[in-house]
Amino acid sequence: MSQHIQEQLSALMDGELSREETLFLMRGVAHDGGLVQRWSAYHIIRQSLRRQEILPLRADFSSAVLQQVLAEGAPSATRRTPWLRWASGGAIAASVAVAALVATAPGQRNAPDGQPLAASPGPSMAAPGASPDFRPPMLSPVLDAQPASAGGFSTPAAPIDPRLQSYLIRHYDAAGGAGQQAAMPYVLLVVPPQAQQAAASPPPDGGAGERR
Amino acid sequence: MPDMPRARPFERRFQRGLVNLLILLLATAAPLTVLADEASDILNQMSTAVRSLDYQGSFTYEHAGRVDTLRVFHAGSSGRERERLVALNGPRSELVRDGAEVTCTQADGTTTVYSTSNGRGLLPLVPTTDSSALGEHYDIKRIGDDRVAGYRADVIDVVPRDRFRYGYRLWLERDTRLLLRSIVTDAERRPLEQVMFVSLDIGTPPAEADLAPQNRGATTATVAAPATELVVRGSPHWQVATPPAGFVFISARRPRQGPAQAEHLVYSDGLATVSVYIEPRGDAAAGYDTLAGRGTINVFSQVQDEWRITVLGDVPIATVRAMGESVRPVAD
Repeated sequence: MSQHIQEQLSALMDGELSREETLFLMRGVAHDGGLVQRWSAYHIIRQSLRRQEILPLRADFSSAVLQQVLAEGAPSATRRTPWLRWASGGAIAASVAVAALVATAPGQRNAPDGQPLAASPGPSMAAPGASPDFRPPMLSPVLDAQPASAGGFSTPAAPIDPRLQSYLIRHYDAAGGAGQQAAMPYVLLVVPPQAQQAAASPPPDGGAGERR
Repeated sequence: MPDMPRARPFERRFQRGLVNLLILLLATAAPLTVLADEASDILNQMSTAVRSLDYQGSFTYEHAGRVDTLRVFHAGSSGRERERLVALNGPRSELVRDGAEVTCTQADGTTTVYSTSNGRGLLPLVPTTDSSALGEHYDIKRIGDDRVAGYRADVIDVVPRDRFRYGYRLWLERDTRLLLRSIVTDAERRPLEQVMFVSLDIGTPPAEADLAPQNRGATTATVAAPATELVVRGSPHWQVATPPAGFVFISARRPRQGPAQAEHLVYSDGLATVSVYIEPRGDAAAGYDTLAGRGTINVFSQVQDEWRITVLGDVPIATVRAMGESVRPVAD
C-alpha cells in the first residue's frame, strides 16, 4: 500500500479529501483488502479516542461511500434530504465517512463488551442492495441506558458529599486563584453529581489509572 | 591588470540579500524563542482576569458523557470579588460568593455557608505562577486563533511532560485574557472535560439582584461548615516526603477548630494545585483507602494511625495517590 494512499485515507478520515480524490480512493479500496482493514482500524481508533460505541465497518462500505459521493455530486438531484444539503464542500468526506459505518444496533453485537469489533472484509453484514443506513457518531451511550434527567430532576438529586464540598471550597480558597483551576472554580459544586459518582467509592484495583 | 577579482554587482546584491535574509530570519525567530515565557505570562493574566473583571454569561460544562449548562455573574472590578453561579439544567443549585463567604445551595434546599480565610478580592492580584519551573513540566505554546462566544481568542496549548499532570487547551479572549473555553486532557491528550462560554458579556457589572442568592425561599437547612482555616506560621507538622517531580510545598493552613496537628498542606507545580488534608481519624476504618473523582478532580483518602489523610486536586489519580502515600510527620 503506497504512502500516498495511506495519507489519503487519513485525510478522508479528517474530512479533508476532495470529492474527486474520495471517488478515486474508494474505487481503489473496493479492490484492496488491506486498505479496508486500515480504514477500519482508523475508525476504531477514532471511536475509541472519542469514547464512542465501537461499530463495525461493513465490508462493502466503499461502494456505499462511492454511491454517496456520486449522489452528493449531482447538484440537480431532487431527492436531497436536508442533511445532504448541509454536507457540501469539505464536509462531504466527513459525512461519507460516517455513512460508511454499519448500522448494527449496539444491542445486537455479539462480541463481548470492551473488545473492539474489528471489521473484516468478510461477507457483507448488510443486506445487499439495501440503502446505506446513516448513523452519526454518538456522544454518549444509547439514551435508553441513561436516566431521564442526568441530575435526577424528577428523582431527588444525589447531594454533594458535605465532606467533599468542604474540601473543595478550602482547596479553591487555598489555591488563591493561582494556576489553571482558578479558571473556572466552583463549577463542580453547582453541577450535581451522578449517582455513581457521588462521594468516595472503593478503588477498583490497586493500580492508579483510568476512571472512565 | 586587476589582481583582486571584484564581486560583480549581481554577487554583491546576492550577498546583501543573504545578509538581509539572515536578519529577517533572526527577527522572526526571536519571537518564537520568547513564546514560552509569553505563554506563561498569558496564563497569569488569565487567572487575574477571571477574578478582577466584570462579566456575565452562560457556559457549557461537558464531562463524563454529559453536558451541563451554567450561568455565571461575576463582579471583580470593585476590589471585592462577588460571584453567582447557577445550574441552568437539571436540579436548581447555585453558589454565591461574596468576598470570603461562599454559600452553596443544593437542589434539595440544603444551604451551606462557608467562611474562607482568604478573601481573595482583598489581596493584590499578584501572579504566582513561576514561568521557569512551569516550563520544566509543561510545554506551553500559542497554537492559533479562534472565536468563542463572539470574542476573538488566542488558543494556548499546555502539554504535560509526564503523567503526573493534566494538559490543557485554553481559549483566552484577546484583550482581557478571560478564559472563553478550555479542554482538560490526560497525558495522552484525550479530552476529559470541557468548559465553553456560549454567550458572554465582558465589562458590564452584573445587577445587584443577579449577585444575590435566589434560592433562599426553598432553604430547608443551613449548615455552617467549619471551613475556616488559619495560615500556619512557621513549619508545618506534616509533609509530603516524595511528591511527584515539580510539586513543591506552597503553604500550610490549619482548621480554626480541631487538634493542633490537623493541617491542610498545599502543593503546586506552578499550574496544578493539590491539597493535602490531615485530620483526626474519627470513626474511619484503619487502612481504609478510597479513590474518588469528579470531573478532573481526584481524591485519595487513607488512614494512617490516628490520622486520616485526604489528597485532592486537579491532577491524575497517580499524583494524588503518590502524594497521599508519602505523607509523613516532619521529624523534629
